[in-house]
Amino acid sequence: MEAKEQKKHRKKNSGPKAENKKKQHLQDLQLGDEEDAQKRNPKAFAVQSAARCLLFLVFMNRTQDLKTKKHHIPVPPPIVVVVMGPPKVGKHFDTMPHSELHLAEVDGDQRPVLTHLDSFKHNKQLKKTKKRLKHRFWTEVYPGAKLFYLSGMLHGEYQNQEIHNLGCFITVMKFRPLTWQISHPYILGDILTDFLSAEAGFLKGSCVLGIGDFTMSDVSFLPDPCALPEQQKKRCLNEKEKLVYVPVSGVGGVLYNKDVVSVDLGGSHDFQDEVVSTHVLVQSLISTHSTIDAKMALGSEDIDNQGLLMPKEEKQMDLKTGRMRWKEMDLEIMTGWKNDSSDEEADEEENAKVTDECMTAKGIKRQKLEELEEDSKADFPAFADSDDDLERNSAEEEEVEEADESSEEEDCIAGERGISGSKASGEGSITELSPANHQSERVNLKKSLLMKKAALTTSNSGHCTATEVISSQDESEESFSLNTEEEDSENQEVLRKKLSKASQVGSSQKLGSRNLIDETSDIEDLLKEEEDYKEEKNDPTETSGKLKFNLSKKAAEAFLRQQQAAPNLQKLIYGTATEDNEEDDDTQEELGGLFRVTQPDRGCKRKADSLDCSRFLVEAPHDWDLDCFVTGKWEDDKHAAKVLAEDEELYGDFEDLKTGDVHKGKSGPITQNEDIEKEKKHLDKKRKLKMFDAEYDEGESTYFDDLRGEMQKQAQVRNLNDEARVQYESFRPGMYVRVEIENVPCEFVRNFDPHYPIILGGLGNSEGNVGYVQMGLQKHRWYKKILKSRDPVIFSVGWRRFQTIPLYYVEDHNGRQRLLKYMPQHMHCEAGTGFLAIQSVRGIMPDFRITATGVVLDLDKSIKIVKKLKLTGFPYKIFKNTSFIKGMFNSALKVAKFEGAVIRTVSRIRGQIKNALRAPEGTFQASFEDKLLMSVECLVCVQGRVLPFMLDFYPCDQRLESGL
Amino acid sequence: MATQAHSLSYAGCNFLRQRLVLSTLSGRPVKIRKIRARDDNPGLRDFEASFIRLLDKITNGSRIEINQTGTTLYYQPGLLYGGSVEHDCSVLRGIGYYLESLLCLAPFMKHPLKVVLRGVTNDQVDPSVDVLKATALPLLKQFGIDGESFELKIVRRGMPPGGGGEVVFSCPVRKILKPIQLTDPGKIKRIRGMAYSVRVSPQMANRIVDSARSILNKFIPDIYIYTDHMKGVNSGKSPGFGLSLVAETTSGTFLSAELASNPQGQGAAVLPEDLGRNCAQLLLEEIYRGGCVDSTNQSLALLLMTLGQQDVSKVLLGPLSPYTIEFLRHLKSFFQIMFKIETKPCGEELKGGDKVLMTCVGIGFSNLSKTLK
Repeated sequence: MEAKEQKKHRKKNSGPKAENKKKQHLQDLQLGDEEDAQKRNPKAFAVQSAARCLLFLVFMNRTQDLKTKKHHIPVPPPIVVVVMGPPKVGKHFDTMPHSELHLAEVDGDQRPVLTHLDSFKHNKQLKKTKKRLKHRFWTEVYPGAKLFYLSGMLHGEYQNQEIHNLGCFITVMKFRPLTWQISHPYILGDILTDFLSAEAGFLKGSCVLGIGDFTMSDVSFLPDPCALPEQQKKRCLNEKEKLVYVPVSGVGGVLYNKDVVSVDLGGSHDFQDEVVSTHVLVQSLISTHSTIDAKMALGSEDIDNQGLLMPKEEKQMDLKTGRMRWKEMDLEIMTGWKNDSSDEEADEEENAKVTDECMTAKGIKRQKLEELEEDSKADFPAFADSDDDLERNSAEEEEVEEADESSEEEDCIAGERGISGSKASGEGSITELSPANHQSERVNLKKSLLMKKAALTTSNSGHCTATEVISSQDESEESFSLNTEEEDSENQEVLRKKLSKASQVGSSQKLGSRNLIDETSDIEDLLKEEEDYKEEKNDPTETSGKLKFNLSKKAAEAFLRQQQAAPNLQKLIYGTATEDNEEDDDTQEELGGLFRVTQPDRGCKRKADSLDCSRFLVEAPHDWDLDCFVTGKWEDDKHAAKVLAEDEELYGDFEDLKTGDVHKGKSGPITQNEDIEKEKKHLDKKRKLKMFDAEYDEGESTYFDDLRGEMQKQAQVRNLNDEARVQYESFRPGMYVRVEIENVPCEFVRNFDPHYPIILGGLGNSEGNVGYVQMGLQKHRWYKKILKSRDPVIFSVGWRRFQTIPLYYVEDHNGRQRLLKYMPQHMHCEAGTGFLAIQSVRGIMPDFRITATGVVLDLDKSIKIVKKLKLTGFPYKIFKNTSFIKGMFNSALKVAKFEGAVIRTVSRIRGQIKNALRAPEGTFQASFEDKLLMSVECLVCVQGRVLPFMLDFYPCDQRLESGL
Repeated sequence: MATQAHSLSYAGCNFLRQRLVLSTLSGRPVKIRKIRARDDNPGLRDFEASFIRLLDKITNGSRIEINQTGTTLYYQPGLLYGGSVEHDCSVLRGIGYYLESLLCLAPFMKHPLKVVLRGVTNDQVDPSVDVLKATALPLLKQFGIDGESFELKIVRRGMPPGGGGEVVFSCPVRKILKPIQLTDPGKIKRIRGMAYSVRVSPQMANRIVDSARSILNKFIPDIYIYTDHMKGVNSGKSPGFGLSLVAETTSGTFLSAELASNPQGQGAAVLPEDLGRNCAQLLLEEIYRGGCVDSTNQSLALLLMTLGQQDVSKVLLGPLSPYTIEFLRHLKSFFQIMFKIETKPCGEELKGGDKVLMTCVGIGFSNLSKTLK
């Protein structure tokens, strides 16, 4: 039978079917109809004229450039640049650096640098490799990531120009804003001092990575060992200014620490030997801890050097206490030592103040003088760097001026003042030029019959004038103490009482209800009285003219008042804050070792246990100020009548359209004015136009303007000196600080390896006590194994690295969080703080180590993860549709809990739990939609709660391990 | 295991609320000893216990330990949770006592807080709910806490000693707060008020209004004092009346004063005329003190400045109240933040009493507990 040739299928070329197919085809290609021709044939719509395009582009670029230039907000200078890669970098990229890339992805910004490009002989191969690596990075890092090329080495060094370019590039680099990074400070460790584990480093914004959490016991700032050159606007640095500071290095045994550069003599650096002496030192320091101020002062002590390097410890200690107490500026101390003329320390303090030894022979014993000379010499470098002291000098100046009642100006130098002073006149004074602060100081030390008086006159090279207002709080303190100095003991007693009262005013309820300002003014009044008293006392010795004196005195008084008002309030609030709380235990005396004498401090107790209320009660009403109301008097520029009048002038003329009358504003009697006014109007119009233009041009950039404005505001805060700034805004990025950490494991110090940089990360306030962390997680596509719930995994989240037991779950549609046994291949991720997980850090694994990446979603103290739970039972008695079921529960109580629950059999017969039966415990009656068989199993599906393990374990760092 | 931040230790029951609130926000545990240790009736009072219970309700995972006599309290804060909470406040103190602390905490919850508080709405000790509604809420709005759900509603009024009032406070959650620059207090442009009376003659409120107006009319004509007479179940369990006045300035700050009648059976009866007059005088005093923030809310403003972004915030205040001064100290010990305090004497620019300009850089607090979704 001959096979009949079949007719070939013919495609339809016309008709509705063909049209439909055509449409379908276009849709498959994701191209629309005719209007999408541009998409279909992009070449046809390409730019016709290159020149025109260029012009357009240039124009666009220019405006864009101008805009972005405005937008550029400088990032604080210290950027931690990490250079990493395998030895002889640039050749291959195996799996190791890729895991590092991922580390960088979650924690910062990365910029691949390709080196050794010269080792490619052929240009084509080079191009190919470049392209391959670029695409590799684009998939790994982010699409469009820029690479940096270093062409090759010359004499074993990279080429200068290229490195320069790279440096420039890093400085102008824009970072992706990582919210986490912004809100968490970190420090790159620099010097590790082993006895107290004190570290210094650049602050960028504490937990030592890989070691654990510690609380900082102390922070203070240090001068930058590698400070920026003075002049900023230079393209490149001089050879002299090019500084390289290698962290964790002493340059030939020279150690920068605090304000002292110490030279390591060798042999004294053994850790074991130091323990005892440092312990004593620390103890002595701890005993002096009282206020935050004190701590701050402590921080600036040079503990390390005294403990470790300086053999002459005693003298240093003395000096130290002197300096420390000086820095504390505690009222008690200041007033205390002034009375006690035999107090040696007091003398030292005084002289520590007087950096340059210039003193009269009369007041002080020869022997002491020598000692003091030594001390003040030794103290010199410490003194020179502190701004405060400089200012203090000027304050002292003020006081002395008052005390001496010299009518002369600041510039009329001390020779005259010495005469006008008092008993100390005629003494030769030695003036010495201090090389550090370049100010010649002249000091008269005089001793009166009533008390020992230390008055300092410092006339410096003219940059401190009498009326200079300095807002340092220490200073007002100074003015206080120096004032008290001038009084005799009785007066002083009164003042001290008053002051201590004042210091408690804020907290005590009784005094607190009174107006605070009143309190301050009280003190002021008192001071004024004292001044009057002083005046009387010193009148006979006065030599200069009365009139002049009065003037200067008035000025001084005004200055004093200005000084006292603000800083006193600050001191009232912060100065004595912790006193009441900490004193409690210290004041108790022991009696016979068994009983304690408690002296009930009435005022304090009432304060501590009084009513907790935020209302501010009124005691004495004032004269009410009508000017507080809109109906009261206004400032000149805002006065309604005036503003109205101005408006009248400008807009007074109007035409009433209804009646056709033309109303003239008060044009004034003089017609000449009209021309001037016209001119004015014209100018006004022009100005407005300009403003409009400016606003129009600015466009959307107003947000940045606001931002810049705010930054300027912040800049205003910056004209304070460092110490004051640190108090208000804490340590700002880029400062070189010293951090003390206690209770660090000894292995850390023992196995300290400077090759591993130490990074201290700061933690937010409540980050230390978070219970459970919920994360969005995705298994890394290169990780080969499958992740299982309850399989320990090491996480690196923020500063923390810890091993924990995760539970994987998904959220169902009804909000139920259902446990998963195994991690699925793909899951959602959301933006936020990044993290990544590794299974082991120990050793080097041949395979890809990163198991998963994701983001933190939520933090909580408790979490509800459930898993499916099936309760099973069997019928033991079957009626028509009702059955008695056993083996599912143990007690009637449990049955009662499940009453009404849905029950089903494996064969999908549905039913309901009715009620518990009495006979065998735990059996119950259930009704089904059909009759059951005896053999069928009954199920109740419930959700059982899964409790996660409370476990987090900090894996030992290699640093800690290496010694094991 | 993460080591706990070391706890702060205090003695005495004063400023208990501040300490617990700051502890909760900073996450640092706090230990308070010697709570009325020498008192005949030592230990925590009912209202304090009630406050601690409220804190426990709005947080998750807090640990509270109180010794047998109630003289020592250890509080380890959990996470601020929020959500819907109902709380019966102690009638010994007003609802304001509890609400003040809730205002500090509410913006930093995990879930928006909606709390029903029952107790004494107006009393003589604590700021009343009316005043907080009129002053604290606009203040919070300055920090960017705003929205539909931000409200404080007085459902029932309750006077001491019986109580029986009810308020509903709901507040949205914010991740960060805006820094503020409140340096111009402006001038008083209008005065509003609320004269309330429960379980007494409705005429009382009218008499209060008349007497208060008689004083305030000399200063400004724009005065309106509402009368609010609650009846039946809304009037609580005890009789009483009172007045709260709020002055609004041209720059949108609110200053307030209030007075309430003596609780039933305590002290002599107060004439509504006297009460109105005294309250008006208190308002004038408050205006004299001035500043951009009401004296009762000083601490709230300072707290929110502290918790703001890392930026400079400025606020001009009247004389600092003792409560605020202690609060500043606590801020320093909990958050290590110091304010720059400048005294501004009155003069051309500033009217009334001396002012204090408070400046600080926020610590960049961010609401950790808020869920990212």
